[in-house]
Amino acid sequence: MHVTSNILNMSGLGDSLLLNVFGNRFWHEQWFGGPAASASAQEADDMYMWLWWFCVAWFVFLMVLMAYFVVAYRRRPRVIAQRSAAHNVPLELAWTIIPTLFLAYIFFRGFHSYMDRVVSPGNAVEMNLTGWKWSWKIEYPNGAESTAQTVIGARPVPVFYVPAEQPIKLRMNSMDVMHAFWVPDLRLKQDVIPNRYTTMTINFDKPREGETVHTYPATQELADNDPKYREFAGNLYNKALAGVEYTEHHVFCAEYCGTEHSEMAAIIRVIPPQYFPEYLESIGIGSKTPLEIGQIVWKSKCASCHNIDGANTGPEWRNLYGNEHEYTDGSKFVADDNFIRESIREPGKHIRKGYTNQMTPWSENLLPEKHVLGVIEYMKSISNKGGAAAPESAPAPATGEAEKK
Amino acid sequence: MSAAHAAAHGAHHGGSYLTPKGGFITTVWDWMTTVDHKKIGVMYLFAILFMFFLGGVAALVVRTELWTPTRTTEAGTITGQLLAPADAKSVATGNDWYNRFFTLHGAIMVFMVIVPSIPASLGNFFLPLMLGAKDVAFPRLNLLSWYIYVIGSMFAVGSIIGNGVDTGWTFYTPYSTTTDPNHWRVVFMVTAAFVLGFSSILTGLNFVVTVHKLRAPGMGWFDMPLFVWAVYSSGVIQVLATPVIGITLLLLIFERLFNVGIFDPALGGDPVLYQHFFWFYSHPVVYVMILPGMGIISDVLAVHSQKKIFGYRAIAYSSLGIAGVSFIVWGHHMFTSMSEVASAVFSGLTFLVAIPTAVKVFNWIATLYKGSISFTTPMVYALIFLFLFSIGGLTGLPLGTLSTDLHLHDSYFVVAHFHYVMMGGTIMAIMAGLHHWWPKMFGRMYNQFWATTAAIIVFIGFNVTFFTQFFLGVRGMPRRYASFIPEFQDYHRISTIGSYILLVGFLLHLLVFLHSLVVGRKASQNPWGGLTMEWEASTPPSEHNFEHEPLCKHGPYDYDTTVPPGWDPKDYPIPAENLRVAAAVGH
Amino acid sequence: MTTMNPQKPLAGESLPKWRLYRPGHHWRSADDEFEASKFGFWLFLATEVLLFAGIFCGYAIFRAMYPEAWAEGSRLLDWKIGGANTVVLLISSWTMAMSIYCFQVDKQKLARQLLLITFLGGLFFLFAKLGFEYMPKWTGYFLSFDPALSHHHGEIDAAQAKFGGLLQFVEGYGGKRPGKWFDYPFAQSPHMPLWWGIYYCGTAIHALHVIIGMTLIARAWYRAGKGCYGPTHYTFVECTGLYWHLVDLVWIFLFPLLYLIH
Ligand code: HEA
Ligand code: HEA
Ligand code: CUA
Ligand SMILES: [Cu+2]
Repeated sequence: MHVTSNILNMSGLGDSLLLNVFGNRFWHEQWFGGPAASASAQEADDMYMWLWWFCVAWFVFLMVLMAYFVVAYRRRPRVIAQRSAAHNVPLELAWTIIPTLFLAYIFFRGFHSYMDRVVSPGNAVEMNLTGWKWSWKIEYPNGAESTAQTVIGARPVPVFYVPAEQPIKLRMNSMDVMHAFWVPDLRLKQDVIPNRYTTMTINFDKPREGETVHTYPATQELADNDPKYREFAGNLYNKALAGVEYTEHHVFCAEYCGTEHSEMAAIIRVIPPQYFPEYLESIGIGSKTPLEIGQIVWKSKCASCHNIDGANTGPEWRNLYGNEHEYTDGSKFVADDNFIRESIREPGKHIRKGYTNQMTPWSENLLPEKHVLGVIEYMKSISNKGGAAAPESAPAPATGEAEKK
Repeated sequence: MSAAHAAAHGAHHGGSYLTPKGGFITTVWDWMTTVDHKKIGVMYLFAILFMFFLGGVAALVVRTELWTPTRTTEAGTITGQLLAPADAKSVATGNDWYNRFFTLHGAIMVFMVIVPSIPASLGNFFLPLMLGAKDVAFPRLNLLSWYIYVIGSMFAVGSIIGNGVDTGWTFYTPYSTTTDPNHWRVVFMVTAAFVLGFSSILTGLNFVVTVHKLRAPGMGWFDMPLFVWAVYSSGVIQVLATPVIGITLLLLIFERLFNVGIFDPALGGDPVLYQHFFWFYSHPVVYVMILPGMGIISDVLAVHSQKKIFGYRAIAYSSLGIAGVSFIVWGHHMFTSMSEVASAVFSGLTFLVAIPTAVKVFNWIATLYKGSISFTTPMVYALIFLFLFSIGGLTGLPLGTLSTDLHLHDSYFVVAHFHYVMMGGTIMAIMAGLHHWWPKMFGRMYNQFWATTAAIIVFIGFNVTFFTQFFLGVRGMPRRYASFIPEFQDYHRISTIGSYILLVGFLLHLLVFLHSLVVGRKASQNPWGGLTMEWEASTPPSEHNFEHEPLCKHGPYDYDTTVPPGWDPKDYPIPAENLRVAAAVGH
Repeated sequence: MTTMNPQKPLAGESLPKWRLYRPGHHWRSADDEFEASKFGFWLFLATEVLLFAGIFCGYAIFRAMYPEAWAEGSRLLDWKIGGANTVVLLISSWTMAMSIYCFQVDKQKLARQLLLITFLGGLFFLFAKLGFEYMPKWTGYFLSFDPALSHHHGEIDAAQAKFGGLLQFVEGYGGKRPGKWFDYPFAQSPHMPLWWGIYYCGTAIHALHVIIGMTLIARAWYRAGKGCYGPTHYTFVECTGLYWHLVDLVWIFLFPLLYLIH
């Protein structure tokens, strides 16, 4: 999303202010900060801009009238309030009927462009979107799950690669409370509700005028040096995307869902459709080792609460595996394979001392067995008691965390 | 609290309702057990202003936190965690505090300030006076609803002291039924809203009956001041809508305590049903908030321009119209969680409600035409109301329009919209009404210059705070966000600055009022030249309101033909000629 | 005027209290006050109806969503108990109305007796609700004199009886609880917990209203004993009566919806 950060940064403020303030483009830029990312979103923008001028017109008309009356009829010595009619039927009818007509027009126009946007075309590709406290994932048509990551601030957020010019029907579901999937650039949002599917159709255009186009690093070295792709360091760099141009769009969670509601963001990267099949193939999970899977799972689902270098909402993962820990009821357990598996499936059973249970309730959909095994493998790799998989001494986490202080 | 003070100072005006009944203890006891609508109104007024202050402080905390984007930074530390205790380890703690503060702010402002505000304070005090009655229909019920209000507020304060709740004022399920699972806080807060609902019902019911049964002899329905009409309409909504939130909150409490499952998707329940129930109340209630405000504005505009209100019947009927239509538009809060058909129906109905409102605005502006407009503080506030409420109402249109609401829903655009209508509408109307009736209530004038200055500061601060938020919303800033992407920072900063300007404005108001209570010039019986019956009572009114039962001999706004009772040109420098001409016409 | 109610005369007065009644100072006449009170009370009743409307709405929506659970649930309720309670409430509504009539014609003694009968009707209702319905359904314990026990001869577990046999335990009957507490082993529909959620919420809130109504009746009875009500002043009894009719009316809707419609 391209947002002008400085409102004073009006283009050509000096020379053509007068022209500007009456120009639709100028105000569109002021309001939206950037172009809409699809034709139907553009339609919504047009509707919005129409409403904007409608409101401005009525407001200015009424306020000018008010200001005029207030000045013209201000209290003056030796002048009393003049007599004037206290009602006037034709006038009153007029100002009831005229707004009614306008409002009817607004309703129909809004309804029309709404239907355009919520009814998904027949050629739409279906993808499943799942939201939970506090992240998102997409399951692509080939069964692969979104795995890519980037950062906003230092917070890892998922990246969804989708093809341009291809309607995509998201079938959405929440694992816990209500969320809402909002793509501001598409001017669209839809609630994501537990125990019920909702759908939303997204359809990005090719990069539109005014949109910033990014290029995926052509080589892994370039990616390593670019903070935007830092999360792709190591074997997470995706060769299938090398050099591909894409546009970036924010996703926000727009339904209040608790502590990290404001952190529950994602990035959609829209790539030219011809690269999409290859990308899909590249992320198919079949070819990955358990350790890689575990690392991906941690990043996409666990890292918001579990750090590997310090406490967070949940216990730290480094040196968790194989060690003995104390639990709120005073008991002590060694975190072995079975214990970890149980803690994932029944998080409330044993709660680590000093923490409360904030885990997302487990479901097969959230973490299939394969992923659980991956997580265990990953935990081993960062624990001093991890057996064969363990590093010799104090482990250096596998993801460039070493750069952190 | 301030009640005792006010009473003590009222001693000068022998025989007024403020005259103490004896020593300090006796007086306090008298106030605590009074069934006099005026005293109850005054107690409500101070309680509500206090709550407004609390809610305002919470708002400032919210705004202060939003000064910086508060994202986890690259080094893994967190910036801008202004709210979090120093030892906070993670971003989570800071967010939790933020979430509690905006919930607190919203819940206080809605349930404890703006819903009871005008009816319970100014309405209580002036409704009987304007009808020429000695009291409301059920004085003891009135006292009861005051105590229920206090109990409800105590529940809320209890949950705040116990660390607060983080559900948002809408208590959406399943979040509200699962958050903070081992604590009573949420139950306390929901109970508070439930109990306050009772207070609201009893007040509304009392007023409806009062209007039906206690009008002065000779006063027909269309001789009533428009403020009375407005309070009446909002009373009807209170009576009809509040029980639904009652049962909803009750079920929510059951849900939390006993897991009955009605709103719990895991047990087959339906969280969207909760939203329907909630908005079935909470939409009509926004008109409970605004209608009395509109009533005040109608009265203030007429009195301070010495002009018969334009389209009296249209205004009166449109109040009823708004009350009626308000019950069938609740779905416009749920466009993103309902079926397309339902959305379309509710969108259409939403526009219906804009029509009677537009009619009122036109009537108000037409009232100014050929008036004799004086720039008293109440009038300035009334004009501010017209300005701000128009913006608030007009921005309701893009929200009611389906295709644009998909973008704007739950964004700062909504936040800006409802502050423009609630704060720019209702709060400005309270300020107008308070300045209009202050002399009658406490028998003293206030310093108009400083009051008007404060009003202008509030006006500026308000726009700085909230106009920016329209832009934020359209650009993609979701509401209820403790942190945001850095691109939004400039707007947020402007908004935060504005909120501090607001603080300055309100503090100045507070000083002006205190100053007036202590050293204010004595007010005459009718400082503005109003024609409605409260101006026939002495200033401040005596315990039983009127010496003799007043008769309704003229309409509430018949400035053409009537001399305002108790007119004192000294207080209200109007040309002597004016008075003479008016007298000649009238008698 | 002769009063049937022998009363202690007030100091210097021989009139009963109801004749001494003065309306509030802000009323023009006692009639005005009476009318206004009734009007206000009707408004209050409207709020009560709307309160229950929420429950009925929930009932209707979930019925549409899970008809099989609703059918199964209502089959598990015994219409005989519900029916008996309906009859009792209807009778008590009638005695309530009669009692008001008696106050209007100053038959003080009869009026109080009728109030008492009304009160007992409420008591019976609550007893049946708790003893014959809630308790067995929730816990599996029946009162030993519960006629329904005869259907469960085979399943009675004598070893678990309590209070010297006053409570008899029936194997596999209890556990019909709302939501999370649901523990009934023979449920067919997965949505049974929800049905019991609605059942308990609806009937418990109604029972609460019965209790409030009984409190009002008790107060009316007590004050009537002091001669507070009579032909020219009986506002409180009138309102109590209205309230009791509402309680009755709500039950008239709850009964068929919960017990009869499968
Ligand atoms: C005082 C309270 C108040 C009032 C009066 C209103 C008035 C209106 N509101 Fe508002 N609203 C709220 C308080 C209020 N609202 C609150 C608190 C919320 C958010 C709750 C939450 O989620 O937390 C909300 C949210 C809200 C939404 C949901 C947004 C979302 O979450 O997606 C919508 C959508 O339709 C809406 C619409 C309207 C409309 C159409 C009016 C109309 O009644 C406005 C009518 C007024 C005018 C139209 C202006 C005056 C007229 C003129 C200047 C004349 C010219 C006009 C014409 C020619 C049309 N409001
Ligand atoms: C009546 C209603 C009302 C009022 C008046 C206000 C007033 C203010 N509100 Fe609020 N607000 C809500 C109702 C209201 N609000 C609601 C319902 C929500 C939604 C909550 C939710 O999402 O759940 C909300 C949410 C909300 C948010 C969004 C939070 C988020 O989504 O993350 C913000 C952010 O800026 C905000 C800011 C403010 C500010 C700066 C003021 C300022 O105008 C406050 C200024 C007031 C003061 C500074 C106090 C001064 C008072 C005195 C000194 C006392 C003396 C006074 C006299 C004598 C008159 N409010
Ligand atoms: Cu998820 Cu907000
Ligand atoms: Cu609304």
